[in-house]
Amino acid sequence: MAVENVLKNAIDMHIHCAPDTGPRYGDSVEIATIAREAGMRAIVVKDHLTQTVHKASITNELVPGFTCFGAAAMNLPNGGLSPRAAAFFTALGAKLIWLPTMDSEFTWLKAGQGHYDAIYATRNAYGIDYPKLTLLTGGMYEGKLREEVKQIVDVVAKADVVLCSGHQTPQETTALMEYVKSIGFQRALVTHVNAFLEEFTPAVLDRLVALGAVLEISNGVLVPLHGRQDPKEVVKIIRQVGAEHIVLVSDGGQLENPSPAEALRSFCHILIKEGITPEEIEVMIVQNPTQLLNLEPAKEEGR
Amino acid sequence: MIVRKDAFLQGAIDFHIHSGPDTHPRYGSCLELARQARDAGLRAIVLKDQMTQSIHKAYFVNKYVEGIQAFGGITLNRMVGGYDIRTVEFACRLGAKVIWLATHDSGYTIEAAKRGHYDAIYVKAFSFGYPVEPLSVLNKQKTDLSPEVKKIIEIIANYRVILQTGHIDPEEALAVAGYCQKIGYKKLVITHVNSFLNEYTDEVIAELIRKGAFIELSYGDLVPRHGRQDPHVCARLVDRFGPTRCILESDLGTWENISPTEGLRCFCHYLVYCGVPADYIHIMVKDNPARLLELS
Repeated sequence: MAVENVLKNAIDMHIHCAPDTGPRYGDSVEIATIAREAGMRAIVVKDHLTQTVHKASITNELVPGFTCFGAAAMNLPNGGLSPRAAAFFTALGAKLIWLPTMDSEFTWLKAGQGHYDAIYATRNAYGIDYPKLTLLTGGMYEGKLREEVKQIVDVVAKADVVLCSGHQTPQETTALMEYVKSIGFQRALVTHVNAFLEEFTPAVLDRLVALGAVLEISNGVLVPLHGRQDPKEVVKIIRQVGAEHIVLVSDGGQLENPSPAEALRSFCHILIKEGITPEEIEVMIVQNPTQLLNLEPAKEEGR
Repeated sequence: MIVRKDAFLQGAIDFHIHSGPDTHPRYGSCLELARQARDAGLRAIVLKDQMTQSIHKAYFVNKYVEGIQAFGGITLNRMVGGYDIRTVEFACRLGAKVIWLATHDSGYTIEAAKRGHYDAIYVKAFSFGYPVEPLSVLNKQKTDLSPEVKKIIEIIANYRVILQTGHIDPEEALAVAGYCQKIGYKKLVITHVNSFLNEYTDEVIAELIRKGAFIELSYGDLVPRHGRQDPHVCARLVDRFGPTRCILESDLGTWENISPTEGLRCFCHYLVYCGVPADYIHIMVKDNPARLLELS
């Protein structure tokens, strides 16, 4: 039997929205309104090159009965790997801090190898050459975690908000999560691991989960124009590490894709068709995001 | 808070407002301040943030508050990469209408703060306890603008965006004005010059105006807690340089002060009391900002 109201109390931790420099499905107010009508509890909006705390705050002012959280990704137009910038964003009210996404060396390496991220990386470069960021002293693969990265993690931990790994190599991501574990911080999310499965092998995923990280799995990798990942790949990851270590996100908001709420709904139902249980879905879109975001459990009963 | 529908405010533009959300309490959110300004008769406001862009705020005001236009921009402090060409390109594409050069992260402000300028509290607050590498628009030899800043000015000129000097020193401002003049760019504004009159002497201001710059006069310097400037000082500047080169703005939105719209209203009246003709006020609070923003 089909599950009714699969999105009840759901939280989508990764949504793109207008205003942005490229076309978007809608602005944060419109996307939040759709999500609220779909029964969801909250969304996190993300921009690559500026903070989204303003968007979130304004959305909360205009869309009652729902929560929109803001964030910042530590790309160069957000100050790059700057602990001061991270301190500013958390003081402003950012609920998630991403390490570099579009400005990481890894993004441009994958882009060069033909990964669809090339489209987004190019779009956010505006034809301007700029230095790329790595988390390790020796670049993407070697060395220790950079001091400024540790300081950013410290800022995030002190603010008790969520740290997202961004687009990094398994070596960088593992070093990051080792540091996260060493300071006893427990709100770390590995950004859409299913986008880079050729790098993030089952052994890497096991290691990251053992370090206490939660893995984000994105519907964006399954959409028809980019990615076209077989949902069975997602099922494999869930079966390998367990739903208790996973958060499902839409990563939607692109003009050409379904609305983020619709994308998440469909993602959940597809996974249920592939054998994931409705209870596991609830763990991945309600319980885990609620815990990571440090929210009170939803007042109303779930499905 | 409702503001009197004053004749000076009908069709006025506040060129410099701080709004929530921010890292510390503001008088109101951008939506609230926009509604207040609209109800008092203003036609437009320019929103400014120190450490991030205000373009998103302007977007939401324009979409969800009817009857007033808001404009946003970005301030080129370290938080957005400093004098970073890509950041400026990004901001312009996102819809920036104003770009401010460095404010609290400029070498001039950091030095002025050390000498006791009231800006010290903002410099400290926005450092978040971290050391800040001061920004300058000049090259290392201080012989010319840096190549990045030249490129930034060209991008700004290309998008017909307003360039505000932020908190840079007179030497830097003269170099910027010189380059603007050289490339035929005519939207340079010297940010609240009445904050920096120790260094921005009449000779400096005259030279900046000769190179095509507008000067901005801010009510923020007159408030009781910081500045306490005698409004006669601003009136004298208007008299000395003429209304066609001056812009009045509130620079308010600070929690402890009167609201931006109320501040702009008072500022107009104070200047009239100090001898500025009423028709000059209309030029400085309506015509000049409208022309720079390309409003009809």
